[in-house]
Amino acid sequence: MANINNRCIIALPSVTYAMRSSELLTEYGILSKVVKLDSSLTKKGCANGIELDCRTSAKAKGILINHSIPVSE
Amino acid sequence: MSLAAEKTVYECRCELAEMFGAKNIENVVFTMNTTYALNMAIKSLLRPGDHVLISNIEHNSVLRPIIASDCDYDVFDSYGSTDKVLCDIRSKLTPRTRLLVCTHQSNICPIQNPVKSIGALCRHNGICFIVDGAQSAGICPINIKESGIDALCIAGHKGLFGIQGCGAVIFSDRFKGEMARKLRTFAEGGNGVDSLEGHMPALLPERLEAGTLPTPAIAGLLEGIRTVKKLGLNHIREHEQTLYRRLRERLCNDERIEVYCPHVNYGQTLLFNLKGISSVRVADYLDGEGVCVRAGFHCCPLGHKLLKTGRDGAVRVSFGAFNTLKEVDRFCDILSTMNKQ
Repeated sequence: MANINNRCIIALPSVTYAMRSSELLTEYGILSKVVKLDSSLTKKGCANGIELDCRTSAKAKGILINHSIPVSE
Repeated sequence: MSLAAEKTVYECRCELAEMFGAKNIENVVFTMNTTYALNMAIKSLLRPGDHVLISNIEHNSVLRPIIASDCDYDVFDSYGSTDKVLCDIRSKLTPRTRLLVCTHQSNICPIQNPVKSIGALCRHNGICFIVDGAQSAGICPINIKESGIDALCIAGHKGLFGIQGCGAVIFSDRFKGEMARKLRTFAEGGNGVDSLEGHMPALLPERLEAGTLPTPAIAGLLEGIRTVKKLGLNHIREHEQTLYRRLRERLCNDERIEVYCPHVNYGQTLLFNLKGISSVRVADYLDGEGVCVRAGFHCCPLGHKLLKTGRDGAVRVSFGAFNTLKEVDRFCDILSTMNKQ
């Protein structure tokens, strides 16, 4: 999870997971945006994730894990 | 812009997952067509030394990959009651049987495989079950969970009203995590994920999606699925049954016409021959009158052998949701003029 200007990034395995995650979090009242990640944020190269308010990121991560969505560190 | 295109692809995955009863959206894997979908499903699950069962109404998109795999295979009989079909499958199971692949709806005649019962049998015996839904998706209800289907292969451009250029495999929800990782890749390449790694990603759908997706075709499929939902699956199916029955009734009353499987009361296709005239000649004649049918063997040698259509194959009439009874009657009238020539 990266923190840039009070916006946090949660890295996800693919754009499919990113879109599903964003949709799921909306159901929980957490707004997020699907983004393409800077290569510096990942070890494996191109990746996607979601950007959200850092105040909601811990809760969001918990929700995603509870729904078996593989969240990358 | 690229995310907007990805969103369309994602929405199509969601619609397909919902339509076919998959909980995991990631388990919808896009392909170029049903043949690629079947090749992908078969080759990702089959291991050397496995034994496979297929039905005797399979399209070449099932038969040829199985033959090319060099695995032993047997063919079970789809013609008859569900009990008879299941009995034949049981008699052909071996300790090495790993996979059963069959079509839901024949592409040449009204025969359907009882997929729900076959799925239960496969579950009971620990066999992977792949279903070719090319002809039935968008017309017959299919729920992969309720029918015990491990991989459902579909076409975008048939009953789902998309354009040519895409198909999909919908893997059951058990293919996640380690199970997804065990799926053998069918093709390898880039897909925008883990670009610095030498191997395909471990998770679906990207594990099996190599190269650029056919996004325009997927966008078309998305709208097609929405159209199917608007029209209603039951409405489409009942309408096609009505057309089928009218055609069957009229052709069966003509003694110069041989209708195959005339006793089957439901269907989306009807197969026939005009006695003494080759199927290609009949199709050419109909084409000249503005009617499109398909002659020959329809890439289904097993089915034609079962129905004993002969060395010229037969003429296949397929119905669509937008055909009308008037068109069926016109078809019969045109055919009768050829009959008299």
